This record gives sequence, structure tokens and C-alpha cells, in this order.
Amino acid sequence: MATFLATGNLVSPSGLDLQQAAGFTIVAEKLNWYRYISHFRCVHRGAFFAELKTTDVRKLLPESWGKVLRFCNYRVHKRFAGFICPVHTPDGTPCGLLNHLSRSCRIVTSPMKSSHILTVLASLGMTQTFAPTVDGSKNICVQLDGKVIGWATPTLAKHLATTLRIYKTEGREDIPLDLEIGLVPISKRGQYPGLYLFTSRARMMRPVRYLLNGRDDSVGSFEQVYMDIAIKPEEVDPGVSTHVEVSPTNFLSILANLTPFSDFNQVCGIVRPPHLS
Amino acid sequence: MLRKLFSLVSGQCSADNPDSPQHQEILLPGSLYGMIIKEKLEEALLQMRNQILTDIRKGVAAVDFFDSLSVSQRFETLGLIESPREIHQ
Repeated sequence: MATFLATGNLVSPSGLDLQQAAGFTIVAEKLNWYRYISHFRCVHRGAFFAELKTTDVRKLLPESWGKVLRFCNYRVHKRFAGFICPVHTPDGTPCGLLNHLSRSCRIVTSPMKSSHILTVLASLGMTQTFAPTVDGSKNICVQLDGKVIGWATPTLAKHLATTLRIYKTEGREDIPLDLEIGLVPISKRGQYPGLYLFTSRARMMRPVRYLLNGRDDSVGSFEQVYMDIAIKPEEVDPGVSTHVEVSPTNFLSILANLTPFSDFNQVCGIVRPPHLS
Repeated sequence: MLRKLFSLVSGQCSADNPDSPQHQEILLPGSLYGMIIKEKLEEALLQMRNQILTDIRKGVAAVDFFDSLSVSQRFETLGLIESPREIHQ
């Protein structure tokens, strides 16, 4: 253990299912406070990807489908927006692989109670797994941490997701705030539909405001793709937007947030994307 | 999962993109340390088992699991744990 912490080299017969065996630790250089604090907010995609010739893994703004969020002509793909800073990544080899968490991004580190969620869902009308007949063509799957816990029709699944979100933001039924409610709607050639709930650790979550009841909500990277989060209260699209950002610059890292006048024209100097698109 | 597979093969849904943070989690230091310690403990147990098995086969030493002294001696001969003095240094 001491050797591991000192060298960052992993000596293990099984490899622990990891893609690399070295470079797990870095020295937190204290060049200045900004560099020092950034060390504790950075996250690396893995040494394996550094050798890949493809830039796919480094891209911040890939697919043309889906909604994009505009911030001074720089397009941040919706699924990235908020968790990982689009500008705070070094030039050179680790560009796009060594990223920094956004200012408001948190990582869930404590386990939460999830056993009662099944009961809550069942009381809201979800068909449980022991039902004698389930029409697979009309129902979508409800999963909690990867386990199938039931079935629901798409309309019911939507109702379940909304109710769970109201419960968790208002603290009712003991639903934890860090529960992630990913409702994947039925689509042609899109992601496989279902209601996916997560309570596990190591997920990225960030705070936003839920418009329905004006409470603070916490969203994860899985569910965010299927949400419409307005940046400013004025930009709320009635009937479409469900959430609004707490602060418009929340998607930048701590360091990028410190850049003065980032909501003026000077932003072009800060937000200069790496040439990967 | 089988439904998802059929749906993917028939082209009704798209494959999940592993490069997207939507499908990613963060490897936390705590989980990594936990994995390492778990593996080291398993290794130690296996070594201990092998040593006891050879001892029984050869009949060199009596194996008494209720004698804590002999068990800790075994640990020390295998170099699995450091003696308290070493830790203090």
C-alpha cells in the first residue's frame, strides 16, 4: 500500500480490472494556489486513451443530434455541460483526457438507503417482477442500480419519474436527493428506453433548481441528457424546461470561474476550444 | 438485457457510447485502496493456506488454529505482517 501511494504503480496479479498499472498517483505541486486546487478537482480518462490515435475520446462536442447549449458561440454538448469543464484542460498530450470537474459538480461518496424505493414505486402503480404476465411490447423496464425491479407503460414511467423527483426534492417518503432518475423515452434508433434509477456511489451529481416546486434538485450525468435545463430564469421555455441552473457559470471549473468578465466579450479569450471538432 | 440485445441487432436502438460521461463513473481513491487491500488480504490467505497444507503433508509441525501464537508466527515467517516494532519505527 505504501509502495503504491509512493510510486503510483499497481502490483497486482489480477490487474483489478483496470486498464493501467502505473501512474495512479501524482504529486500535487504547489506552484501557486490555483494550480494546487486544480489538482484536487481533476479527473483523467486513463493512460490507455493517451496512446489512441483517435480523437473520439477527447471530444467535448461530438454528435450532431441532441440539444446543444450555447454559450458565446461555443457549443457545449448537453451531456457534458455542467459536470466537466469545457475549457479547463491542458494543451498537449493529455488534452481532453485530463479534465477538471465543474465548480458545482460533486461525486457521491456515501451509500444511501434504496430498499424502500421499490415499495414506493409499487404503490404508485409499477408492475412488479413477479407479475404472472407482462406485455413486453407495451411496457418498459424499471431498473434500480442495474437490477430489474419492475415494468411500467411509458406514460406510467413518466409519471413515476416526475413523482419520484417531487418526492426527492421535497424529502418525502425518505427518497434520497442523490437518487438519479434517468427516464429514457421511446425513440427510433435512440438509446434503449427504460426508467433507470441509480443510488450507487462514484456518480457525478450537480445542483440545479427544479421548476415544478422551486426546490433544489441534484442531477446526474445519465439523466441530464433527457432533461431541459435553462441557463437563466429568463430563458425558461414553458412546458419544455424542467430545471434552471443555479448560476449560469456553474459549468466552468473553479479556475475558469475566476476569470473576470466571463459573461462579456472577453469570453472568446477564455473559451477557446481545443482543435478537436 | 436480452430484449436490449434483440432491439440493438434489429436496429431499433443505438449502442451506448462508452466515451460519453453519461455512462461513466469516477474511480475514487477509496475504492481503489479497498480493491488493493482486498487483493492483498486474499493473497495472504492463500499463502497461509498453502503453507499449512505443505506442513500437514510433510508432517513437520502440528497445526493448531486455536493457538494464536503459532498462527501469528506463521504470519511473521511468511512476511505477511510487519512486527509491531517495525511499524513504530
